Amino acid sequence: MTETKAVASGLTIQRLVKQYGDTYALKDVSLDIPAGSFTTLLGPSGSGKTTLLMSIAGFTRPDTGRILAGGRDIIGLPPEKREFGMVFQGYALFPHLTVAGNVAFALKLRRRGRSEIEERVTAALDMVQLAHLADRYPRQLSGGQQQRVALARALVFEPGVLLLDEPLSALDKSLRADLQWELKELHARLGVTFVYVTHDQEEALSMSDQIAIIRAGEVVQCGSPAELYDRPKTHFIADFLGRSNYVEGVMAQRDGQPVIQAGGQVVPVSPDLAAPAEGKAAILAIRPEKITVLPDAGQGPGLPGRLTAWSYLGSSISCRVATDLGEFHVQLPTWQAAFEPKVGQPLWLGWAEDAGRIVRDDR
Amino acid sequence: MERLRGGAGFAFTLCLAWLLIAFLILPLLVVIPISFTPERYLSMPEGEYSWRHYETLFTDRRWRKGIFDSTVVALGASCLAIILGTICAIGCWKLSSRLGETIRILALTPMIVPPIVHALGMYRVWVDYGLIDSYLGLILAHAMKGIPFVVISVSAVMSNFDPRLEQAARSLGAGPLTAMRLTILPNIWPGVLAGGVFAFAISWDEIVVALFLTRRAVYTLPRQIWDGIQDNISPAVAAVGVLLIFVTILAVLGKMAWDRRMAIREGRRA
Repeated sequence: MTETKAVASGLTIQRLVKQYGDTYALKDVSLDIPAGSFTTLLGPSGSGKTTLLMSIAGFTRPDTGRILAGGRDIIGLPPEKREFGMVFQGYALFPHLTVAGNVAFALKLRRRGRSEIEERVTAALDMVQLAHLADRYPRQLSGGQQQRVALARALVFEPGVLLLDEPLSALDKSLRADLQWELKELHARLGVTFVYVTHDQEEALSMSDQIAIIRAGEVVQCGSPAELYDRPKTHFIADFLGRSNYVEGVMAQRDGQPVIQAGGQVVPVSPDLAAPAEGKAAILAIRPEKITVLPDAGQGPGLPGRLTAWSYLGSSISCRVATDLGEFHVQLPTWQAAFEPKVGQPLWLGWAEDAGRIVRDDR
Repeated sequence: MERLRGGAGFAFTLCLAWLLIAFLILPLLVVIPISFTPERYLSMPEGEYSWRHYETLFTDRRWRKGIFDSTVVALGASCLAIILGTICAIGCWKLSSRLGETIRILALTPMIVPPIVHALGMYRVWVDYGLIDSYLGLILAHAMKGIPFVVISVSAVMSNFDPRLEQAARSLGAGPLTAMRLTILPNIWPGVLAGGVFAFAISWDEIVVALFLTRRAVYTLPRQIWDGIQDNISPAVAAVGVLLIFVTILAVLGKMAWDRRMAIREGRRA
């Protein structure tokens, strides 16, 4: 079990549609999940991410579309034939069975020999460091321990894909951080494909190889965490994943350079950004940590403002600045700044021309 | 607490409570002395006591048949009620919609319809199918009366059942029926058992339907008691009563002991 023999399989989801009455839970979802990847389905509650996971698991039957596992369409297969491990929200451990009994469940169904079962259950519990609790019942375990049992139970039959439905949502914050590391390490060690559902953007950023952001039954954008954070395609993503400041206005040209005219301000943008045509509305999203505070107007793009509030966070200072374009959030690293914040003081917010991203308005 | 215990108001409440308890229990206890009378008719024993009426129960052919028939019918009916009622409750839970709710209410009708109306209807249908005065006929009728109790008690435990347990079993490789057997049943059996005990008790002392559906071939204990009162007023009736009370008390004590054992085991685990 420690050196798994499981062969990770990739999943290809093609044009999945699921309708409940008049509402679409899945609206034409296509997604490629590479074999061995840690793919996160991230979205607010009710976005359809759980419906998508349940469709992969086989508990929800989509109206149309295909799901390919290792090139084979599995849409008609019942869950028990798909051979995917699954960790449920709230763990769903069998309360009438011991920890060992829970983990042995899949092996007993597969009619493995007694000695093999014993050996593999022990190996699986070792993997999650719970071998000493094999005889306990689930209700005697802490949340973190139950979560580990659920993992061992789902992995003991060496599935090629592990589906995880908000496995950490019931745990407190520090435990969650520990288990995030553990899950990531487990993934690296086993090489199994992980499909992870969460609504927690920090969790998604810290663990995934690939994140699919889901909203109202659609994949809005899919990519690596860095890609999504640095190059959000839409307003929703810029807002949902981390924080952003927005310059909203109309595209124009000045001295041969594209600019956004917004509320009396002229903000130049890099010609490299895929900006809309002249005269069209445009939104520029800028991350709080990409903005610096200057005493006076500098060379690059920027805005005048007035400091309304600030707080010291140790590694950085978080500032709120009132501008003509609304409130801006700025995150200043403390090691850099010879900046002494005073509430009410006038400031110039500056950023590099290519610091922001033009995002599609999908509010 | 101190304030509650003092005062005339509390004494009055206490008296009322004891009166009520006496009202509920005393009529039951009357049968105890009567069952020990040495006479051949219903009477209070005066100085002399005898076990003869208990002896009658086990030696008299008719009483033995009554006890035997009641046992057969109650066992058959409660088993049938357990199976059908449990399946119905699980099915309704799975539907978990208005349809499930409707079916559940429908399954409770044998409890709501007046027994005499129910008996009349069954009599009419049973005649057509030649089920009058047969074990099968009475077992079917009593199972019908027991089903609502199983449905109620199983539905109650099902409402606390996490549907994800069944999904977990499926994802681990169990087919739909295996998943049900391995996850639902081990977690709902207290409800199944409770419903079964109710169904057994319902059948055991059912008289109205039995009067309609049986004659001589099937002759249950309540029927025997009823007829016994009608023709010869034998104190054996009282003896049966005492035995039934005794068995009930034993069952309740057994249940309490079991609960305590479970609680202790639970405490040790936690």
